[in-house]
Amino acid sequence: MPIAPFAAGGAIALLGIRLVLAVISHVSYKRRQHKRTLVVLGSGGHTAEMMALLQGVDLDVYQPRCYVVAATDGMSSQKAASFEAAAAAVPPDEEAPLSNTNSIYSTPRKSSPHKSGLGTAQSAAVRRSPRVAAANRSKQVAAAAGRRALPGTRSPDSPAKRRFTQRPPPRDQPQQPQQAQQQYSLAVIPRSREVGQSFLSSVPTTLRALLAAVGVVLDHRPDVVLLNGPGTCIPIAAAALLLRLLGVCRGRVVYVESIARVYRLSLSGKILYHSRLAHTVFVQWEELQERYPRAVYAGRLM
Amino acid sequence: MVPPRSDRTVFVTVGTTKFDALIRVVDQQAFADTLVAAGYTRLVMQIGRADYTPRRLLPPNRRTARLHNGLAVEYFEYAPSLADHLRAAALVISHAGAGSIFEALRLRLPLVVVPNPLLMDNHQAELAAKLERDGHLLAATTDTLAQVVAGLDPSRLVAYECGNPAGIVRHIDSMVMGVCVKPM
Repeated sequence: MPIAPFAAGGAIALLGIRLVLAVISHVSYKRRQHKRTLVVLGSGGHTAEMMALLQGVDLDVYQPRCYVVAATDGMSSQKAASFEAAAAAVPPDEEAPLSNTNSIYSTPRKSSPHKSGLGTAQSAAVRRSPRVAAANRSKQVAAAAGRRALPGTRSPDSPAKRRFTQRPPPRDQPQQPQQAQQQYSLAVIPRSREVGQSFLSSVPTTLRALLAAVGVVLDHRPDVVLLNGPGTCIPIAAAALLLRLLGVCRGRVVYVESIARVYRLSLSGKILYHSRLAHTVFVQWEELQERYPRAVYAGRLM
Repeated sequence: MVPPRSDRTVFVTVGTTKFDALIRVVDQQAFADTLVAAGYTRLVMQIGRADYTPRRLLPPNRRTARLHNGLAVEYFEYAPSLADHLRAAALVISHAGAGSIFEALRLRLPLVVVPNPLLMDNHQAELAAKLERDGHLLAATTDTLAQVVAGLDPSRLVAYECGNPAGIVRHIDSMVMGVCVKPM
C-alpha cells in the first residue's frame, strides 16, 4: 500500500486549510476599525514606560485591550487598572491628544460600539491564574475599576488560566455610564523564571509559561502586541510567532527597549531583536540604534 | 554665599532599592556641614529597603532632629508618592533608577545621581553617565558625593526636554493600520 500519495494529499489539504485561515484572518483584519491590543507589562519602571506609551495611543482604535502580567506582579495590574480608570474618566475625544494632533493617520472615529451594544453586558470576566493571591488581586482590580472586561467570553483554553464571571455590581451603587465604556481585561501568566531559579528547574516553568501565553494570544487574537519589560514578554512573543505561523493570529509584535538602556540592549531586547520575534524593536537612544541597525529610534517615552 | 531662603531641602532617595552605602555617606556630620555651607537648611532621606538606618546625625529611635549647625534632618523608608517630597526639594540626590531620575528631571530639579556599584549588571550607570554628558545632571560616587554637591551650580545644568510617545505611536500606527486607513 503506497503511503506517499496519502501523505502528500494530507499535506496539501493542511496547506489549503492554512491558506483559507490566513485569507479569512487577513480580510477580517483589514475590515476592522478596532485593533485588538495585547499589552504585556513588565515591572516597576517598565510599566511606567508602557503607560507613557499608552498615553499617546488612540484608545478608541487600540481596543479591546488585554493586559498581561506575571503571576507575582501585583503592582503592574494596579497600574493598568488606574490607567484605564483615568482613560475612562476623560471623554473619548480628549483622551489621546498626542495621537490626535500628531498622528499622520487621522483614524476614522466611529461611535464606539461600547456606547451602544456592549454596554448591556453586565458581567465582568476577568481572567485569573490558579493562584489565589493573584486572583484576589485581579478581583480588586476589577472591582476598583468597576468596569467590564471582554464581552465575548470563550471557554477556557489553557489549564494554566481560568476565567470566571463576576457578579454585576449592586444596583444601588452609582453606576457612571462613562465608566462602563472602555473595555479591557487582565490575563495573568506564570513567570518563566524567578530570580535565582536554576536553569534545569526553569525548563518546566518556561514550558508552562509558554502554554499559558499561547492560551492568552489565542484567546485575545491581538492585532498588535506591545512588549517592553522583562518577565513575560518572551513567552508571549514566541506564542504570537507560533500562532502567526499557524495562520491564527496576525498580531504585529512591538518591543520598546527601556530608556535605561543607552548602549546595550537588555537580555529580552537581544533575544527579541536577534530572533526577530519582534517585528519592530524601538530603542530610546540614538546611540543604541547605531549599534542595532534594524532597531528604530523614534523619540523617548520619559 | 546663597541668599538665605525659608527652606532649602536636600532630598535623598533610593526608590524601592537597597542602597546602604548612599545612606551611610549622607549620614555624616561632615556631609551635613557641607550642605549647610552650600546654603541648604533641611535634609530628608528616603532610605527604602536599607538595613542601615541613619544613626550618626539622628539620635537612636528618632526620625527627625535639628543639628547644631542648624540643619533639620529626617528620614523615612517609603512614601506612597515621592512627588511631594521632590517638589519641596532644592536638590535631589538619587540612586540611578530611571524612574527616580526622570521624575526629578521632569520637575527640573538640580539632580546628583549616585549609581549603586553593587548592582551586578550596572547598566544604570550608563544612563547616569549619558545624562551627565548631556548636562542634565551630575553623577557621583559615594566617595565624591560631598565634593560634587559642594561644587554644584544648578544654573549650569541643562533642562531635560521631556519625552513624547508621539514618534513611537506614529510608527506603530503605520505598522498596524498599514496603508489601508485613508486620512479623513
